Amino acid sequence: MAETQLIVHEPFREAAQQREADALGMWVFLATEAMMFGGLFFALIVIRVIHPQGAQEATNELDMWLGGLNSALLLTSSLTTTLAVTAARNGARGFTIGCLLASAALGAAFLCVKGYEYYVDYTKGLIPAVGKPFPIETTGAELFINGYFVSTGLHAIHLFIGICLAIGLATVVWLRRVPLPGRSIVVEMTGRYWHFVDMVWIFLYPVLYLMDRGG
Amino acid sequence: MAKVVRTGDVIVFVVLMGLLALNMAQARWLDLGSSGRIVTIGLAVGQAAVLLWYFLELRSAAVLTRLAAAAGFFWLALLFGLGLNDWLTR
Repeated sequence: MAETQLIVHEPFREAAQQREADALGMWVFLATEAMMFGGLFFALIVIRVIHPQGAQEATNELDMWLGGLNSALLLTSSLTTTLAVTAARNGARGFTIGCLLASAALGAAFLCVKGYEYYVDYTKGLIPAVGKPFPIETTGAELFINGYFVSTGLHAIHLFIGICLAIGLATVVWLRRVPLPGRSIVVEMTGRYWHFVDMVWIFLYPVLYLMDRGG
Repeated sequence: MAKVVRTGDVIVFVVLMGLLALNMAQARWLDLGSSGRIVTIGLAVGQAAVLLWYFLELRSAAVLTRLAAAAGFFWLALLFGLGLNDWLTR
C-alpha cells in the first residue's frame, strides 16, 4: 500500500506516523482487554487445579463439537476480516463491504450457536438462578460453570460490539463517508479488534471445553 | 481479485484450522494424562501466536507497538507465573 494514498489528519505530518500512532493506541486498549480476560482465565485454571474432579464433570456437560464449530466460525471470520483490510488498503470498496458483512454474519452465526448452547445449558439446569437445580453435586463444578457463563458472556458482548462495528463500517464505506484507500486505517483498526476477540475465544475454547476431558 | 486475496492469508487460515482440529482430536481421542493440559494450552498458544504475528500484523509493526502488545502479555505472565508457581513446582 502506498502511504501517500492515505488521508493524513492533524496533528500528524506523515501517513506512516499517523498509522503507527493509531496502531499503538489500539494495542494499549487491547492490552488492557488481555489483562481483563487474563484474570478470568487465571480464575478458571485455579478452579481446575483446586477442584479437578468437579471441573472435569462440568466440562463433560459442555458440547465440545458446538464449541469447535464456533471456533471454526470465528477463525473463518478472522480470514474475511483480513481480506477486508487488504481490500480496503487497495481501494476495493465492494470487496471490503462484502468481507465486513461476511465477518458480521459469521459472528452472528457464532452468537446463534452460543444461544443454542445456553438453551441446552438451561434445560440441564446449569444456568445460575433460573430453571432446574444444578445437576452436579461434586465440589467445584458449579463454580466452574459460573466461570463459564461469565467468560463466554463477556466474550459474547465483545463479539456483539464487533458485529455492530463491522456492519456500521460496511455502511459508512458504502455511503463513501469512509473513502478507500484514504481512510483504510479505520478498517484496519476494526480488524485488530475483531482478531483480538477471536484470540480470546482461541483460549476460552480449550480452557472451558477441551482441558481435562480425559480422552 | 488477486490483488486483495493473498495466498499467505489463506495459508495462515488453514494452519489455524489445522491447530484447532489437532487440539480437538487430542482432547477427544487421546488420554495424555498430566501433560494433557500443557498440550491443550500449547496448541492454543500456537494458534494465538500465528494470529498475533500475521492477522494482527505484529510482524510488520513498529517496535513501540510490539512493546505495547507485549506489555499486556508480560503482566499476564507474571500473574500466571507467580499465581501458579506453587502448583507448578510441587
